[in-house]
Amino acid sequence: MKKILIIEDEEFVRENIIELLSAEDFYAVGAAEGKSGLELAFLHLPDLIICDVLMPLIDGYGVLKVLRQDPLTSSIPFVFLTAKAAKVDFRQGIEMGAHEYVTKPFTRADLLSAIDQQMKKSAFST
Amino acid sequence: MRLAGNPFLELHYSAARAIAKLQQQALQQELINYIVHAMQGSLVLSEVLQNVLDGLHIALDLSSCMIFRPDIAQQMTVDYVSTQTRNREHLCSLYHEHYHQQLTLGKPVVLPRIDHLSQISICSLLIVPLLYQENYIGAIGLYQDNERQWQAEEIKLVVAIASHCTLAIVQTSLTEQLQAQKQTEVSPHPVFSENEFKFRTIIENSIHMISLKDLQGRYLLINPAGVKILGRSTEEILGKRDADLFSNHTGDQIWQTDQQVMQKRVTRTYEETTESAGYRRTFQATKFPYISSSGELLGIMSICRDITANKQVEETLRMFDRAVAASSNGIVIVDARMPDLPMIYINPAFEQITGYTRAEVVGENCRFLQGTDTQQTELYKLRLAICEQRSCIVTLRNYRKDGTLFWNELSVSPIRNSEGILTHYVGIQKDITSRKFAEEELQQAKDQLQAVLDAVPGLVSWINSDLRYMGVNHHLAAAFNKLPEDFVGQEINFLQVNSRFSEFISQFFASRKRQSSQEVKIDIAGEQRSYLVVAQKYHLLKAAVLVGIDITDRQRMEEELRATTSRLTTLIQNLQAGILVENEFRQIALANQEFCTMFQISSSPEALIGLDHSCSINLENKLFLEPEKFGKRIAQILAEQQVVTNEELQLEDGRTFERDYVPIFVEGNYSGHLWMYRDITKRKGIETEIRKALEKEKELGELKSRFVSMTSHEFRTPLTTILSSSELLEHYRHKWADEKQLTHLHRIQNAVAHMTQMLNDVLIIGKAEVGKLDFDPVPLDLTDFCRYLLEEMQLNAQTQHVIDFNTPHQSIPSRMDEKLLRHIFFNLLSNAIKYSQSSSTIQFNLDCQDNYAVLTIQDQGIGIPSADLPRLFESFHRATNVGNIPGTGLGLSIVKKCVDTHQGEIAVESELGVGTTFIVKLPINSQVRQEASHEENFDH
Repeated sequence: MKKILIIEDEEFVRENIIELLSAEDFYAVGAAEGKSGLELAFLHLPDLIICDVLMPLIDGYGVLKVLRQDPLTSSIPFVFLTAKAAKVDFRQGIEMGAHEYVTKPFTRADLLSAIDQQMKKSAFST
Repeated sequence: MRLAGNPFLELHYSAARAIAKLQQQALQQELINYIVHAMQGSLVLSEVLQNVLDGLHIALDLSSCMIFRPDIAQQMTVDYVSTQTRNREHLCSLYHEHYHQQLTLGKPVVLPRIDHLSQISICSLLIVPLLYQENYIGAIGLYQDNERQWQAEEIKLVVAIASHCTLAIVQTSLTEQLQAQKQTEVSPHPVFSENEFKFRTIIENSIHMISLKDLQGRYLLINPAGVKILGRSTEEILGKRDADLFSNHTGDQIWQTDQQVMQKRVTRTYEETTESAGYRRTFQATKFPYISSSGELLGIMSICRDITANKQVEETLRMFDRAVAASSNGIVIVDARMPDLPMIYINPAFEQITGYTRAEVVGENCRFLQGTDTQQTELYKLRLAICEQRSCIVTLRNYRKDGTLFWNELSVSPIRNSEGILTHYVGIQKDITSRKFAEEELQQAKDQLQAVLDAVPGLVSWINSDLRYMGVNHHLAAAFNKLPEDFVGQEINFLQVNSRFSEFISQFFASRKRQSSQEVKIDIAGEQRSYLVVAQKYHLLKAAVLVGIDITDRQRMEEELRATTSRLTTLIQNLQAGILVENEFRQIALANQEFCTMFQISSSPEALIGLDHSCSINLENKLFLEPEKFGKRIAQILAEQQVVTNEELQLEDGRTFERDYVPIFVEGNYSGHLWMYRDITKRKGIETEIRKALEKEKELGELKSRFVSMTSHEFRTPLTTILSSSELLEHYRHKWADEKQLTHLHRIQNAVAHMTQMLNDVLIIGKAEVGKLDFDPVPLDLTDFCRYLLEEMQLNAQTQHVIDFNTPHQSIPSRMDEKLLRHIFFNLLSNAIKYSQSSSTIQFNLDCQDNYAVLTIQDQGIGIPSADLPRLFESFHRATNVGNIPGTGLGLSIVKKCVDTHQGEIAVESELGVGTTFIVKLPINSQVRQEASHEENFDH
């Protein structure tokens, strides 16, 4: 069973994603902010991380930066969730090593296809 | 144009003055030499005096000249008259008598103008007395038949001549007296005889005083001459001593010599001076003791010869000797009876002039003074005169002992003895080297003057009072295609160029003015040109020099300049800007009306011209907002002398000026500057308005962009919840229990409610921003309203917070807008809940103060950073410490708008991590306000 970590400060959004992923046979773990998210990432070494960009204290970019510095976590596929739709934001995320962007509000299909693609890519590369 | 500044004219005048002075000096010398000759006895006094008068007549240009002498009756009468005198019947003598008193005191009579003579309208007189040893012996009178200012130089000359004449007259009369005396005086050698009678006869007839005195000095005998000399009768004298007859001093002196003679028994001759009845007499007294045949001393005998007159003559001769010795002129006496005319006398001045001592030259012929320079023309004149035994005056180049040249004006006169035989020559030499040099300089000056006059670009001419040319410069002559010589002696209008010119000149001579000027048009080479003719008199107003300057071009230029200036002035006066032109000394040269108006100067712009800038300092202090800065800036600009444009100045009265500075350079030299001021107050006002509008626009733009970014985030989050929950329901509801399905439905509803609230807030703030917030105060009980609201909130929000409501008033009847009131309370309370720990207490107090309801909502939440406080009530602004607590940033902005609409006040106190307190004061009875004030309230 693939392990996915969701870092999202909006409770309902986080809950709904965990529910969706659980229903789709993923092992989903949730964190409400960046710091606990990083702790969980190092603890579980998930197969994929879904992370909100805009969060208090440590935002999405901060989380990504820390993960990319550690060899253990540097290759974990990383999907950004963002409420922003401007192209600048995409570029910044991609440059930093994010693999996918999913813009809020997203459909079930959007999220699942993004996860599926990243999983395949990751499997291929390993 | 002024003549005083004309260098060539001044040169001309100084030259003329120099000539006059030299001429006068020469003349004076000539006249005085003449008189000195008379004193040497070589000339006849009467001739000398006559010639002196004639000389004076010419030299001073007199109408008449005469010498007064006393006649036999001691009445002053005219003795000599100058030969040129036309009218001998003048009134000089009349005045002479009138001023007799003054003249005897030795003071000259100087009358420049005598009006009250019936026969002659105006005349003038100068009478100089001839005074010898304070005795008035005559006078020289000068007469002029018109007004004449006797010059100091002229008076000095006449006085000098008078003193020489006096000496000549006195000397001549003394010489005559001496000769007469010599003839009458028979030297009496007393011949003693046995016959007493014979002796007595001799004694009685002797012209000398013969006396016999006893041993005590008492007169025993005196002859008639003695009686006459002593001026007393024989009885008065006999038995008296000299001390009784003369003053004590004289008597004692005589007695002393008498005693000496008696004691030593010798014959002695003394010179004795007696004073009696004011007369001073000198006697040559021969005294010898009177001894009896037995050898007994009986007394003293004395024979006294009155030598008073001889003494006087001797004295005078000694004086002349001294005069000759002291003379500044070299005097030489040559013996004509010796071969080769040797010098027998030279005076110290001769030694001084030539450098030879008396010992070196006496006995020599004086030709050694010529050195090798023996071919002088003047020498022939001298030799001829000596051959002919007559007097002459020559100017010789002589050489001093040290070989240097000096110009010697030598005047030689023969001296004859009583038989008329030539015995001596007297030479008077005068070192005129400096005069010669002066003459040379004068010639140079003349040449220079001519050169200057020819160099003058103007037309220069000299004209005398009979309106004839005396000379012109080359330029003038050339203008008429003539030579300067062609003009000399011609009448001024001989060219018939312009009658106006001749008219001007004749008027000028007729007037008393010394100088004048006139613009004259003259046709030269077929072209009419304008000349400024300046005339100045000289030579005792009998001549004038005229200078014509071509001003044709200048006039043309002046005209053009006037036209240009007038155009410029019109332009400047009508310019819609304040113009001030200052010269290099910061004196106002020009200002226009606009300048006066702008600077509130009541006087006309013309009245400012010439004023110093310092007078405007008060004005600056009053007008400008920062006068010191203004002054400093002005100084800086003036120091830099660079063009300055569009500098803004703030005035005290709120106006704004724009200033330009332009330095003015005339041919590269800084010669002032121009200030230009424009009133740009109106423009500034418009600019400010535009800027304000732009800011407003910018604010709205920012508002819009903040709204966009807020919506993108705040709306997407609930939308995500709605979408995900609904899709979860769609795909998995069959697996879920009803309860779980319901949870997702509530999530959807909550998200929608949240979005609705946000949209409502946005709408309200949108209304408030454009000032369209409805205000409809209605009567309500504020206490009841608060309680009701609290209940409602506690019902809706599932919260563990304790809201502690306190009020001392059971009921507060008020009049407020319910909707707005709700916004205020709801937002403040929900903020307190949102930003504080659940289960913490929120204090909600309501009180009344002076018709104001005071609401205090105090939480124990996260607090607001002080940096955020200033922007706390701005739309979409959220404090930096809100974290992920959702919010739109509109709540407090709405609160503020609502409080403002109620004309209330809101204050906030906050401390990070401790809590925040909002205090709202609202008027209890709000009235519906006028539309205008309502508008105004939101107009920013």
